[in-house]
Amino acid sequence: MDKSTETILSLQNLNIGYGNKKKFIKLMDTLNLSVNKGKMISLLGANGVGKSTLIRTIARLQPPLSGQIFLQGKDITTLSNKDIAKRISLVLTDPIQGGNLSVLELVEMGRYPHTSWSGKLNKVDHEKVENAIHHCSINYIKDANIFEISDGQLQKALIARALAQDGELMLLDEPTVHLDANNRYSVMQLLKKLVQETGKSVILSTHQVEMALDLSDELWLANCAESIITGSPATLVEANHISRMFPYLSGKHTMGEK
Amino acid sequence: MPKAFTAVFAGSALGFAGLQMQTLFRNPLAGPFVLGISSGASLGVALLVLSGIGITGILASWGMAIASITGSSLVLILVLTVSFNIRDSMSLLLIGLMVGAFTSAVVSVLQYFSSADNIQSFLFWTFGSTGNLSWQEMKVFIPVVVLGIVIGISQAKPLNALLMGENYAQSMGLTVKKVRVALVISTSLLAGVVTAFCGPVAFLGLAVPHVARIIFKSANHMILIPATLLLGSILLLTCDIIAQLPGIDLILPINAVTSLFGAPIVIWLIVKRKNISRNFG
Repeated sequence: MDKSTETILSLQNLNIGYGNKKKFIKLMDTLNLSVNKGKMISLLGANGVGKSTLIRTIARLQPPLSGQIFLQGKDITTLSNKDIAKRISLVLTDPIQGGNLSVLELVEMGRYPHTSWSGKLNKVDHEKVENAIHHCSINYIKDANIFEISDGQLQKALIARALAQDGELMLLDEPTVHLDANNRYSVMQLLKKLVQETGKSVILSTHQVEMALDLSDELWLANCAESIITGSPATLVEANHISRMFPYLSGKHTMGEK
Repeated sequence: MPKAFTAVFAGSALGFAGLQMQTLFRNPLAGPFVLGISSGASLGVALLVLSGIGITGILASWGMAIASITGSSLVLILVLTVSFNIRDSMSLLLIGLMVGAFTSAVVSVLQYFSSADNIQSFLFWTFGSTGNLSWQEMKVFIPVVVLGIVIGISQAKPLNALLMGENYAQSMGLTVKKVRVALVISTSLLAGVVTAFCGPVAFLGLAVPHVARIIFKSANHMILIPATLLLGSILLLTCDIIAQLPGIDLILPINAVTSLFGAPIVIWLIVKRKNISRNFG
């Protein structure tokens, strides 16, 4: 298979939601999606539509209601937590409380699945950490405690941690939430740059529709009433999906290229 | 001298148990006793002492130890069973507190129906003491403490990952339930055996990890574990020396000393640092 079109993730007849077999709330059904290597995918949709649930399900933090998830061709239910950790890294909205932790130590945590019992980092680990810090341009704060830095800096540090974990796929749940406009922009630019420079695939959920349209290779539009709509930003704009789902957007983004 | 040995092992056991609980529950108020372990132990001892059985002869201290360990392990098994069914450590913490409240209530009821003599011997046990251990008892006490410490040390790397919260920890390859079971077993062994032989020594388990974090300015358990072991033993040894100052015939209850001297020190440290939850990890 050609490297550039290698499929990293594929979802087959996936139903996601909460609950057990008898009683459940289904959020999204019959998802059949795939993610290729080196693509940046933005997951858009209203609050409560199940964006976080989808991310959590792909990361196996919660089980799907039914259906299968394949990670580089392997069914994730057959993989150990450690195997998954080597392939998928996460940036969540969970608050980080581990005070006394420096930015460097936070990024080093990313090497967790790769280190031995003692957690000691070897030469390769140190290189990956250095690299991640360099990519995210947080060298200037690497000795600061994580409670001393701003939300924007923390988000970049968390992305660096995910990068150091070195999976093929990075999942980010609303990485721009709580950030000011400039930081939202720089975080999204950073993710775009990472995809281009490292060839990793990124799925991120966001409410920043304009930036997602500008920077993503592909959009997944989630809507309560219908199944998920996917496509490149240009095709979705053409087909009027964007103007229908986000009526508040200005003409510049919804009118397409013409 | 068994007394000094006891203080060293009991202090490090309590400090380390506190560290594990604070990290597992991501709560600066957690201590080795939040899971109801000490209440369980108290209940075991209370049943034995207040019913007036087995408080004479050679069996006295052994019976006490066995009752206490039985009580704490019963609570442990209950909490472990619950922890298999819930993913959220906060719920586990609350359940531990509830179990603690329940067993304390049973102890109160028992006291109400007991004779004054029996209540007095039970009260003496609750004062805590490091002085009652014979070499014979040390042969049980020390191996159990060492086992608890070894299990805890084996979880040093998972403890670091847990600093990020359970979701991140799992996303880094950790199996949260397995780690939680290991930590609960380690803590129960440590807190249970210390409670059995020395009484419910208050405060150390909660305070030592905070002092360690403040002194060593670290969140890394590779540093914090040896730090709590060291600080715990130093602190309890110091309290023990204060409790039986030379020249004075009177020996203060160790529980009173740990709290009398320890609490102001910790308050001072926390006020100086302004915000313990930031510092906590």
